[in-house]
This record gives sequence, C-alpha cells and structure tokens, in this order.
Amino acid sequence: MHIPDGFLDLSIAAIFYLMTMSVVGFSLLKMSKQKFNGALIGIVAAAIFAVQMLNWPIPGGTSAHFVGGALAGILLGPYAGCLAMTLVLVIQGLVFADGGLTALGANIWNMAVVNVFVGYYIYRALERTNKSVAAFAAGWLGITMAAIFTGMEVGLSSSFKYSLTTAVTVMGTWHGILGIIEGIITTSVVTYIASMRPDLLEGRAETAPGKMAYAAITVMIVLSPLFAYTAELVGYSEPLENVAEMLGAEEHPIYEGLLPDYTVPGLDPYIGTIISAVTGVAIVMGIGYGMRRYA
Amino acid sequence: MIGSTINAIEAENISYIYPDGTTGFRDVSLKIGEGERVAIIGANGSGKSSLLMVLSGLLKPKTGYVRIYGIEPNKKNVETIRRMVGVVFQDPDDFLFNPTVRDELMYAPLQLSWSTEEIEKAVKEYSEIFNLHEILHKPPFRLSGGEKKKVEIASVMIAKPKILFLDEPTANIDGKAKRKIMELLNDFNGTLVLTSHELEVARKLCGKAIVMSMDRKIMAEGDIGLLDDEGLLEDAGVL
Amino acid sequence: MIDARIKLLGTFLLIVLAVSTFDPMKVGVIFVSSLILAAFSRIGIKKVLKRIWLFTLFSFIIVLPLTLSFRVEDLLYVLLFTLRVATSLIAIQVLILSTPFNDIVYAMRGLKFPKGFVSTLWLAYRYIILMFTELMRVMLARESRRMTKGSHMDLWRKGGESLGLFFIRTFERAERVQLAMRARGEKVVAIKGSFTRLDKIYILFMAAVTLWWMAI
Repeated sequence: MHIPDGFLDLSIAAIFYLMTMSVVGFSLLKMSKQKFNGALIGIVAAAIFAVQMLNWPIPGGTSAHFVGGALAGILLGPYAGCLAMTLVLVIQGLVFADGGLTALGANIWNMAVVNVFVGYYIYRALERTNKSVAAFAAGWLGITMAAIFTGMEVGLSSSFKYSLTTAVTVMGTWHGILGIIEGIITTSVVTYIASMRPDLLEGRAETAPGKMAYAAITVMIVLSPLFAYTAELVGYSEPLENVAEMLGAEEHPIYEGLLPDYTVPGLDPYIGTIISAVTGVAIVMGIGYGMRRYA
Repeated sequence: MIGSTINAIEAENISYIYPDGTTGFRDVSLKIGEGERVAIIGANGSGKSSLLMVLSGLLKPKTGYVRIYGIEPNKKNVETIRRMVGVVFQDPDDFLFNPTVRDELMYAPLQLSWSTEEIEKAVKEYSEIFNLHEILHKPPFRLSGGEKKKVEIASVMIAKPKILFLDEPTANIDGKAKRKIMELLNDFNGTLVLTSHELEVARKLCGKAIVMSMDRKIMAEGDIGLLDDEGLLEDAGVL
Repeated sequence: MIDARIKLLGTFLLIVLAVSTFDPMKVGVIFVSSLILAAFSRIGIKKVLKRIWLFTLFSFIIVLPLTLSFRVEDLLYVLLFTLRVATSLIAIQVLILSTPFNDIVYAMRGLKFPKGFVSTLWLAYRYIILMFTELMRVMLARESRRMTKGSHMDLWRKGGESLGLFFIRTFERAERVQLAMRARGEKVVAIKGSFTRLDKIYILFMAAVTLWWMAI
C-alpha cells in the first residue's frame, strides 16, 4: 500500500503533506502536553516495523502482510498510535525505499492517520458491546479505508492514467478482502492482551482526543478527497506543465471489481466517487459516534 | 559418533544465515545416536542456539540437510517431527503464553487429542514430578525465573518427546531450582541435546560434547572428557 | 562526506523535478543526473540498478495494459511513467546508500524537525533489529509447540496470539527503556555549521540540474 514516487501528482502530494503535517504536529503537541513517553512510542514503532515484515500465508499459496495501524491506535491511543505509525513509515521510506519521498505525506495520511484514527474510533465505539467484534471491525475497516484513500490519491492523480474508479475499486476490493486477515489478527492480539494484561488496554481513555479535536480530524479525513480533487484542478491549470493535455482524458479500466460501480449516476465520475467515498466514511464515523453514545 | 546403531539426528554440511545476513554457523556435519546426551559448548555468538534450532527442525538450514530419525523436516511432515521432538527455549517468556500453568501443561496434549482422563492423569503426574501443585492456577508470567523454567520443561516433557533440545537450560537460574532441573533432566531417558556455557552442567548431564569456535564452526567433538582440555576451551572463548 | 542536510533536500528536489513532468527531455535530464550522482558517490551505478530494477519492472507492468490501445502516446506514457519511477528510485537509493540513518536523523534535527519526533525516530530505528529478533524468538517458540497442521484460520489466530505476547513484552521493554533513559538522559545531535567545498560542489550541481531542467 506504500505509494512510490511518480504515482502522485505533485499538487496532490503537497496537499497531503500539509494535512499530514497538521495532524502529526497536533499529535506531537498533544503528547508533549501530556507525559510524552517517547520510549513507548519509539519501541512500539520498532515492534510494528518488525511485525510488518512477517509473511502470513493466505489460501492460494501467496502471503500477506499485517499493517497494524488500527492495533497501534487501540494499544497506544490515536495520537501516540499515529506517531508510532508515522515513525514506521519514515523509516521504511528513508532506509528501505519503501514508499516514495514526495508520496510520504500521502502514505502517512493513509496508514498513520486514516488507518489509526478510523480503527481507534471503531474500536472505542464497539468495545463495550463486544471486544472481539470491535477489534475485528477496527482492523478490517481501518485498513480498507486506508486502501480506499490510497486508491483515491493515486486515482485522482493524472500522472497515474487509470481512472479514479479503477484505482479505488482495485485497492478497496483487494484490501477489503485482505483486510479480513488484518481484522482476524487484530482481534487475536487484542483479545490475548485483554486476557493476560487487561491493564495495558485500559487507561488509553485519557489519551482520547477532546470533542473539538475529534471533530476537526474527522472533518479533515472526510474532506481530504475533496481537497485532493481541488488540488488536482489547480494542478491542471499549472502553466509550466500541462499534464492533462499530455495525457488526455481517456480511461482504460483494467479491472472491473466485485463491486459494480462506485459512481452516482448522472455526475462527473470523479465527483461521484468522491461523494460515495465521503458518504462511506461519514456513515462509518456516524455509526461509530452513535454506538459510542448509545451502546 | 560411534556406539549406537540408530541415528536420532544426522546433519550433513549444514549452515545457517540469519535473515539480516549474519552467519549463524557454517559447515556443520554430525550424527547423534539414539539415547546419546550431547552438550554443545561455545562462547556467546558462536552459533550454539541457531545450531540447536536447525537440528531440531525449527529452522531450515541454508545448505545441507538435517534428518531426524531419517526424516528431513518439511512443511508436510511437521506433525510427525513435532511428536518426536521437544524444544526448551532459553527464555521461558518467549515460550509460555497461556493464562495458567495448567493450560501450559495441557497445551500439547490437547493438540494431540488425548482423552480427558489421559490429560488429567498427565497433568497430575507432571505437576507432581515438577512440584507445580501450588502454582497450577497461576499465570506463568507472575512466576519466578526458576518456576517458569520448570513449567517450560514440564510442558515440553509432558508430550513425551523422543529427543529433547534445551537451549541454556540453567541460564539465570540459581541454587535449588537449578539442582532440581538438573535432576529432572538426568532422569529423562531419550536423546538429549543441550547448549550451555556452564561446563559443570554439561559434565553432569552429557556424555558427549561438541565445541563451537568463534568463527561459528565445530572446533572439536567427542566424549565429555573433551571439556577437560583447557587449551581448547580457551581457544573457543569459553574459558 | 556531503552534509546530510543538503543531500536530503537535494534528493527531494531531484524527485520533485522528476515527477512533476512528462516531458521526455526533462525526465531524461534528471535520470542522467541521478545516475551521475550514483557514479560519483562511490556507490556505483550497478549496485543502485540492482536495487531498483524489480520495483521499476513492477511499476512498468502496472501501467503496461494501457499500451493495448496501440496509440503512440500511450506507449510513450508507459515508458515515461516507468522512467519517472526509476529516476525517483535511483535518487532515493543514492541517498540511502551513501548516508547512514543516524546522519539523516541528525540532518532532520538540523533542519528544525521537532525534537520529540526526531529523538523518537532515532530510538525506533535503533530498536528495530532487537525487536525483530525478539519477535522471531516468540514466533519460533510458538511454532515449536505446534503439534498439528491446522488451517489458515488457525494460523492467523494463533499467530495473532503470539503477536499479543510480543506486544506485551514490547510494553514491558518500553517501561525499562524509559527508566534507563530517565537515568542516562538522551540527546540527539543536530548537524550544524558551514558547508565544505564538497557540499558547495553538490549545491552547484543541483543548481545546474535545475536550471537545465527549466531551460529545456
């Protein structure tokens, strides 16, 4: 899921750098106001890095990787979890060339912001109903959302010639399926820790964001595709490089996924996909919020 | 090695390289007869532990082959191999993960689908032998180092392996618990392979010795009397 | 050794120049410049190419179906897309292969990245190998206790439990490290100070490449 350099338009890369920096910066601020436990964040980051190197056999003879964004959120709380995942991505990018340098902002956004915060909130919302279900949903939807965002960023980029619909469908479907394993493993880790050291899972409430921060980050996540779309429009009119002209508007879908279509009929396909994606995120967040209040 | 008709373990020209590229050990060939007790001696970083892991079939050698009772371990025969082999890891915290000591003891028997009576009987027997009654319902991570070690060895022995591998069985364990563990291992009647940097432990438990050199090869092998050769042990970095 | 601060910025600049255009000449200029850097940095082009070919091929294959339209511009697009990816990969590999990670960390501090972030990054990096060997031991110990083959589902669940144990141990280690850090203190050095002649040559090179890129 690591986007390399060359897949994203610079305008989109820049917008995600800005958004990522604001959330990561806010997380840092938040952590330093509380007791900043750098040792915990750093060592958990190293642990997640190690865990991501494992190959999990999947039916069909190939293997998958466990990403652990939702788990980081559940174990550390969203801010520290976001920081830990950010460290993992920076090291992957600058030591192993896994994920590009210009794409680093977007990669952190997907795996350290979207995955962690979505995973964390889903877990918090469902935790009291059923820990296992909560952890599964957090792991599964966290990674699927991250993949959909990856698809959106790449799909919106004119540098990557496949359509937005194709990119989002491929990423969303593939990781939606692989995400089931992410969900199962997350559940297994969380229920194991809950049975052996329940104290480690409690006390994260104090690191929960306040209502304002919660709202702000949610709004940012929900609106980020729109920002990206706007950035892309600006990118189109860049006088130096008229990328759009060079590429044409032709689309070549290579893969029609299990989902028939992401688009709302009668709308510009870009806007349609964005609306369906935004609606999806909003529904998930809404359910999460509702569950938290009434569960 | 001479003296036994059946080879419990046979290794031909094996080497191991860690995923990060560092060498575990290289060019090792050896035979361990059924019922023999072998101590692998070497300094820290001489490759003892990785040799033990490869000989037990847990890690795949990068070159050569290992045979356990004539079978080369692979994905398909994992059940056969695991029923013959028991491995005791150096750090019990890596090994113990169940909620209680009782669950630890039952872990292997449950997988082997023993009947409830058989399992009850075995748990009773082994908690008597290892003196675990009082801690049977405690979580393993709350135990002392010596207790953890006993639980670990009991959880392996309960499945009645034919070959027992132990990585530094007495490391970080003192006095009474150490004597008890040595006693229990002495009573084991099967093939025993252990690593240690404590010569006393090796002398008491084993009949044969393999000395690993600092460049991660076998330096010498033979009867346990080998460990009286101070010059050799100094070269190996043990003394 | 070139100042890691400049190298970090220079690499970023090269990649930005490479991925902001589909002009064959411009991408070509950056591609050649990156190779020149690889050659002059004592790493050697061969070593760099060895590290990037697989991912370059992967990117090529992803966009390859677009050539099915049999139009020249699509073919050109596929080639340029791949070249852009390859160029960025070369640039970043030159940075990685010529700069130890601690220099990158010090450079970040020198570039005024937040202190908490940089010191935690440095800590995370130092613990990776240790955490990985610890993880391997936990997984291996668990594997040694597996008596039956089991399904995929079994493997994921039990593997997840092992990860649970691993994370508990991670937390316990973090507590110990935190105490040790409090006892010893920790400081990340920042790269500061003026540029050497080699640094200036590097800056000049980057400026020339940028001008060339803009001119054509």
